[in-house]
Amino acid sequence: MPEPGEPIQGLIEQLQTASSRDEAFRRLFDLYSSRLYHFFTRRGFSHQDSLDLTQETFLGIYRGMETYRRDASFETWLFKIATNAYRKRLRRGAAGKRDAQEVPLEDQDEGGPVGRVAAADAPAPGEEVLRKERSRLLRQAIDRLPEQMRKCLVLRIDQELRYKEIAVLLRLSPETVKVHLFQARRRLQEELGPTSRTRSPASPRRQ
Amino acid sequence: MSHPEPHPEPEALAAYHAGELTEPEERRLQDHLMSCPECAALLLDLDGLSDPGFGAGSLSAADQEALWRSLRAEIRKEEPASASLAPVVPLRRRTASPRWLPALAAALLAVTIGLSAWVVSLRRTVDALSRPQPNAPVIQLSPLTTRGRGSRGEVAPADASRRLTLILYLPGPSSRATRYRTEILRGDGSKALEVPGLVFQEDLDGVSLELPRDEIGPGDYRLRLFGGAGRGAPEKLVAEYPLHVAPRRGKP
Repeated sequence: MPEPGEPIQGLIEQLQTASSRDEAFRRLFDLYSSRLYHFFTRRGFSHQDSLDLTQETFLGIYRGMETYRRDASFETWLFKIATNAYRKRLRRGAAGKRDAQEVPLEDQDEGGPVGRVAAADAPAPGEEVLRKERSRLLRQAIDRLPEQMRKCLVLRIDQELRYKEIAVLLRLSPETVKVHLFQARRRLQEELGPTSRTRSPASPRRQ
Repeated sequence: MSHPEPHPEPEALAAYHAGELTEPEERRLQDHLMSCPECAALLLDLDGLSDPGFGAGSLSAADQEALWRSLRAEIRKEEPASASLAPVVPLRRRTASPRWLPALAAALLAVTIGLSAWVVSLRRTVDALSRPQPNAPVIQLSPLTTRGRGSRGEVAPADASRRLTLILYLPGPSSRATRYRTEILRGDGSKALEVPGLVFQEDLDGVSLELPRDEIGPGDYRLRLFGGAGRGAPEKLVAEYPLHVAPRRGKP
C-alpha cells in the first residue's frame, strides 16, 4: 500500500516522462482506486457500475496524462474526470429509461387509484392549513436572515449537513458556521416566538 | 435527483472549491448548492478525494486487484504496439465463445509454426556465433563531444574473428535510461544495422553490443545511441561514437 503523504507530483512526473511509467501508474491506482470507488458508490451506483466507472476514470487519467498541468491539484483533475464519467453514465441511463418506460395516462388523473390513496392518508383539512401557515412564516423569517446566516441554516435544515460540511460548502471555518447557526436560531425564536423550532415550526408568529 | 437549473460543470465546482471564482459567480454557485443536494454532495466529495481515509476499506483487496488487471487489459487494447503494461485477464468473463475464435486459433497455429521454424534457424545462428573464438576483439568507443571530437574506435585488419564486441562508454553520473538502442550508420549516413534492447552495465560504465563481423564491412561508421524507458516510450539521442573498420588481410 502507498505510504501516506507520498508526493503525487513525483508520480505524475514519472508518468509524463515515461520513466518507470508502469510503476508510477500502479502507485496512483493504489492511492486513489478505493477513494474513486467510494466516490461512485456514494452517487448510488452498484458495486459493478462503480468498478466500471473507477476503471473508466483511470483510463481517462492514463489517456490525458500528457495534458495534466503539474501546478494544478491532482485531486481536482481526478474529480473532473470522475464527475464527467458518472454524468455521462447517468445521461446514458436516463436515455435508456426514456426509451423503455411507458407511463399510463390514467395514473396522472387525480381521480385514479393514486389520488384516492393519497386522499385517505391526508391529515384533516384544518391541521393541514395550520401546518402550511407555520411553514410559510418560518420560510419568510429565514429569508429575512443575513445571507451567510441564511445559507448556513438552509443547508443545516434542508440537507441535514454537519457544521464541517457546511463550512466546506460555503468556504467558511466550522467555528463561523457554528456562530451563524446559533445566531440564526436566536433570531428566529425572537421573531416567531419562544416555542418555535427550526426543524418543526410549532407556533404562529407573535403579534 | 431532477433539478430545474442546469448543474454547474465539474470545472466550475472545482474552481469554486479552489476559491477561483469571482464574487457574483461564487454567490450564484452557492445559491445552486442551497437547493441541490447532488452538487453539494459532489463538492463535499471533491474535498474528500484529498483525504487518504476517504473510502478506505470500501474496496476489497481482491476487487482492487481484479480492477487493476482489467485496467491493464484495457490499456493494452488501446496501445498494442507499445504494450505499456503486462498482459492480464479481463475483469468480466465472457460467457460464450465468439464466432471468430476458431479462425483466430487457426491463425495463431500458423504463426506458431512459422515462429518455430524461425527459432530453429535463429538457434543455428546463435550456436555458430557462440563457438569459442580466440582473441575476439573488444573495442571500447568513447562518445563524441559536443564539438564533434572523440577518439575513433578502430577495428584492425588482424581482427579476423567472426564476432565484434563493442563497448559504448557512457560517462556518468548522468541519469540512466532503462533501455538503449543503437543505430550504426555508414559514412554516407545510410543505416547499416540497428541493435535494440540494450541495457547499461555498471561494471563496463557503458553499453555493450555484439555484432557479426560479416555485417560490418570496411569503412567509416557512426554509432548513434538512443536511450528511453523502452516499450515504445519516447527516447532521445544519448551519444554518438565514431568507428573505423579496416579491410581484413587477404580481402579487398
